[in-house]
Amino acid sequence: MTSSPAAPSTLRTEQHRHPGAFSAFTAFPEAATADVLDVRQVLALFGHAVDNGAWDELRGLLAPDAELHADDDTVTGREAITEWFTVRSDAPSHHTVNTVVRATDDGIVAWSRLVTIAGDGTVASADAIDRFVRTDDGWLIAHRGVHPRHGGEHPGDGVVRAWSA
Amino acid sequence: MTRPDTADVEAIRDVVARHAHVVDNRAWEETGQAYTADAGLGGESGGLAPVAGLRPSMETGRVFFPHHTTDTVLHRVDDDTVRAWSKYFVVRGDGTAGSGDYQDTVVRTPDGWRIAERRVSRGSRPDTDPDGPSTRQLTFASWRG
Repeated sequence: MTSSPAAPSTLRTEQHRHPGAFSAFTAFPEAATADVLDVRQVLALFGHAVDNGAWDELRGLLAPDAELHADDDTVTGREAITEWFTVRSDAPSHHTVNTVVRATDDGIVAWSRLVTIAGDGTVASADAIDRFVRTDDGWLIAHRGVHPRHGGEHPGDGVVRAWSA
Repeated sequence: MTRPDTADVEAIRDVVARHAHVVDNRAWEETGQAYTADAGLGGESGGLAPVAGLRPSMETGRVFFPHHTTDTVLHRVDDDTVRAWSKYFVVRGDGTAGSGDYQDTVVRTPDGWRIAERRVSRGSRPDTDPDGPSTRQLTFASWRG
């Protein structure tokens, strides 16, 4: 088999790894079943809201002072986060899989894998780590960190550990 | 929170996941594991076709790709009726992927939860998509009904 000279070397780019952060995460106790189902629903709604441009729905999933860390941006506040998404009209489809949910002292943390599919059919993988707070409106996202598995500099365990923010 | 009771959620997720296994494996005799006998399937709008037509519609020689169901959200309508909204993606033979949506009406039957209606969207895809462009019409409003 001969390889194409045009084949990008990134085909063999190793993924980022976060063993320390994952060990710290999974040391938290499992969350109650009802809470797990609630936060899974929020995570799935997040993808539907972003992909449909349903901005009022997106606002309803975020705590007022929520923080988003993605694409090397740190965005603070429900409105600013919503605005951050509205200008990305060419955004890919968002699929959330592999969600693991843990209970912390003051909330819930979920570690998911985010698979995004662009219009040209290419696929990218990232970790999405979400910290949830319980409110009168149910579990809301207080912090979302999105960390690509490939490319860029290793974000470091301190950045990945959103629950200690 | 509009989702159904905890006890029903996993049962419904299981049923929603069965479509991909039945269709991708061409296990037509198992269609009843996923759908009611009189279930209807359709696109984002327009009429629904009987689930019995699924087999002839897919065994046409056209190439189909494996389906992966994700992001299922559940809206409780009543004790025996739930609206489900999922995303799916197919992985094509060339390694690229395509994304879409399902919106389902899932009903409680004597045999367990089954899909009574499914509408399928190919999501929003550009002109360059191998199967042509599309624009998602399924919305939060059509999900909640």
